[in-house]
Amino acid sequence: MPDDSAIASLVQSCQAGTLDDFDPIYREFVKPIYGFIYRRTLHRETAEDLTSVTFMKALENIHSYKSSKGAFGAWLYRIARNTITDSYRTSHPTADIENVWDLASDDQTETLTEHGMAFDQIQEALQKLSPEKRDIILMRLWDGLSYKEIAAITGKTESNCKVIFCRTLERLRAETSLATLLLILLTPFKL
Amino acid sequence: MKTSLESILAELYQTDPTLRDHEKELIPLIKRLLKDQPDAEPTEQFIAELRAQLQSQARSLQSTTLPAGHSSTERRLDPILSFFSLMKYSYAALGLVLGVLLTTPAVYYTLKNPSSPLKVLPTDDSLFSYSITKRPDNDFGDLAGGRSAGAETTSFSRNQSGGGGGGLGGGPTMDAKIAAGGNATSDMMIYPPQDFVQYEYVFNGDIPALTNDKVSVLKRQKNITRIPITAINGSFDLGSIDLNSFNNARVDSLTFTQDESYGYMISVMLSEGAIGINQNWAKWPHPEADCKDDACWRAMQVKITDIPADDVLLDIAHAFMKDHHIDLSAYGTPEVDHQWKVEYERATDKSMAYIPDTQRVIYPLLIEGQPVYDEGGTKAGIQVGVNVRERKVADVWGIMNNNFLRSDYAGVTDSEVVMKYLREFEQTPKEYLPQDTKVRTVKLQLGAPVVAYSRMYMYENNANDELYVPSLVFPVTNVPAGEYYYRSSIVVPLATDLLGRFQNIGRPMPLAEPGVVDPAATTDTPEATGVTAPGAVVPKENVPAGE
Repeated sequence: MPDDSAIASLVQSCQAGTLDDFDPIYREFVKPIYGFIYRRTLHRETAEDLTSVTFMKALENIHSYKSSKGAFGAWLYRIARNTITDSYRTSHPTADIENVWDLASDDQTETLTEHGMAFDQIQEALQKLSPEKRDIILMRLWDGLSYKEIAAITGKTESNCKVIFCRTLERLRAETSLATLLLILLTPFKL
Repeated sequence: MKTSLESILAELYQTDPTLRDHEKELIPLIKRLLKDQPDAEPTEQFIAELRAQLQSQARSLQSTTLPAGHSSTERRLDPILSFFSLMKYSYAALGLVLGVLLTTPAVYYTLKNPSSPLKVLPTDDSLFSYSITKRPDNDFGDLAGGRSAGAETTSFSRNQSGGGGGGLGGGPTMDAKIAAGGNATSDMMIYPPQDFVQYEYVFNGDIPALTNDKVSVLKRQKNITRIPITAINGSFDLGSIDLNSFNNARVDSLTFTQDESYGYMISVMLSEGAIGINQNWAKWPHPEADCKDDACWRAMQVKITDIPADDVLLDIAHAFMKDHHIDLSAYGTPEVDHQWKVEYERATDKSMAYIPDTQRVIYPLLIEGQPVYDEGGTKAGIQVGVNVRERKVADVWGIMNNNFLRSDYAGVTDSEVVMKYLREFEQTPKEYLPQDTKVRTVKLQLGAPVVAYSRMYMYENNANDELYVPSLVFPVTNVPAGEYYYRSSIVVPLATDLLGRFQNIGRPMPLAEPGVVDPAATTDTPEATGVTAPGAVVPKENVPAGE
C-alpha cells in the first residue's frame, strides 16, 4: 500500500501529465471512498454511481489539487462529500440539501434489513443531530478518519472538530438514559 | 481503518475530562455506534469496471488538446454522468462505450510506405481493439454438437482436465474400448492398477436465480489478416522470389526481434488476433545453462526466499505494460498467480519442491465488466511472466484483439439442471472401467458461484473458434490433503446447448444404450484383443432386424 509520500509523488506525476499514475491512487482509495459514500446513502447502486463520479472528477481536476491545502485523501473525501450533496440536491430539489441522511430513509429502506441490524434506534438518534455534527460523528466513528483529516475535509480546525465530536457524544449520552442505552446495546440484530 | 472504543474514549477524556464520570453510559453508546456501522465493500466487478473507465479517460485526457476557454470538466462530465447512470441498468452500454473508447496503440504497423517501412496506423484502423457486434439469434450454428451454420461438423476441445487421479483415469477413449470389449482386466496393463479416483463435487448452497431464457454467446473475431502482401513487397528485395506473384496473399504473422541485452521477440499473430512477447533467449543471462552437475544446478534454482512480494511483481509488470503502452482498458485488476504454491505447500521436502523462476501476473480480461474464465477454471487474460532472478518481465502472452460477435441462444433457467451437471461432472460410469478397478471417491466442496464468461473452443471449418459463454463459476474451496487436484473452479455454461454438449465431454465415447459389436468394423475380436476398434460399437437401432 502506498504511503502518503508515495501518494504525493503519484499525484505530482499525474499533475505533470502522466495520468496513468492515477491508477495506483484509485486502487488505494476506491474501497474507503466507496464505504464513505455507501454509509451515507445505504444504497449499493447509488454508492457505485457516486464513487464513479467522485473518481472521474478527481481525475479530471487533479491539476487543481494543491498539497499545501491538505492531504490528497482529504481532497478526495471532500469531492465525495460534495458529490453526495449534489446527487441529493438533484434527486430531492425541495428538501434540505444538507440533510443527506434522508437519502437513505426515503427509498432505500430495504438496505437496512440487508444489514440485519437494529438500525432504527441509531438512525433516530443520529437524525436528531445537525448535519454538521452528524457528519463529524460519522467520519470519526464509521470512516475512521483522523481529526486532522476531518478538519481538512470540513474546513474546520482540528481542535474544533474534537470539541464538536465530544459535545455531540455527550449530548447523545445525556438524551438517552442508561437503561435505554443498555437496551440498545443488547438488542439482537434483526435477521 | 477501524476505530476502537478505547481510542475514542481516550480522545473524549482528553478533550473533556469530566466525561469520565459518564463512562458507564458512554461505553454502550459508542459500542453501539461502532457496531451499527453499515459496511459494504464494493464488488470486484465494480472496481474493475471503474478502473477500466478511469484508464480510458486518462488516456483520452492525455491525448486531447482542449480548445481555449473550455474546461475539461465542462466538456466531459455530463456524458460521464449520463454513462454511469446508464451503467447500472445496462452492462451492454459499458461494452459499447468501451468499444468506442479503447484503442491499442501497441503494435499496429503498416508497411505500405516503402520509404518508411514501419508506420503506425491511425487509431480507427486499429487491428487490436474492443467491440461487440450484435448478430441474429443462433448465428453461430448449432452449439449442441450437430451441424453448424457452415454445414461442417462442430466439435469442442476441453481442457477441464485439472484432476489428477489414478492411472486408469487418463483416457476416456481407452475406457470406452475396454467397456466395449467387456472382459478387459487390469492384468493386461503394463503398470499395476491404481485406484481410480472419482471426484464428487459437493455444493450445498443455492443456485442464483436463472431468469434469462436467452443468453448472449460471444464469438471472438480473431482473424485480422488485413495487411495485403503488396503492402510489404517493395520494402525490401527478397531477390529470389516475387511475392507479388502470390495473388491475394496476406500477412499472417510478424515477428520483431530486439537484438540487444535483455531484448525481446515480439510475435504478432494476425490470424489468431494475438500478440506474444518473449525474451530474446540469446540476449538474456542463463547462468544455470552452464552448469555441469546437479549440485550446480540445484544451487542455481530459485529459492522460496527469492520470490518477491506480490506488490513488487505487480509493479514490475505494470511498469512494463506502461512502458510499452499495452492497452489494459479491457482488463481488470492484476493478480499474481499462486497456483504453483499449492504443490510447494504439499511437498514434504521443500528443497526438492518446484519453484518457478518466472512468476506470473494475470491481467484478467473483462467482457462487459464480467471476468472471463478458461474452462479449467482459471481467469483468462494477459499473462505477464516476471523473471525472478532478473526482476524483469520475461514474457507477455494473451494480448488479443477483442472484437466479438454476439448472438443469443437458449439459456438454462432450471437450477436443477445445473445441480445435475455438477453431480455428473467428470463422472465415469463404473461400466466403463476394468472389472477389478477400485474406485476411490474424493469429495470436493464448491463455494458460491459467480456469474462470469467462460472461454470455450469450438472446432469448425478447420479452424478453432473461441466462444465466450455466460456461465456459473463455482470455486473449489477445499482439496483433501494428499490429493492431486489442480482446478480452481468448475465452470457451468448457461447456454442450454453447450451445457448439454459438455455433459457428455470428458466421458467415454457415447454408449447411451447397450450396443453390439459390428463384426464388419474390425477383424480382431474383442475377446482376442480386449479392445474394439473405433466405430465398432453401434446402437441397437442400427442393427439389421433379425441379428
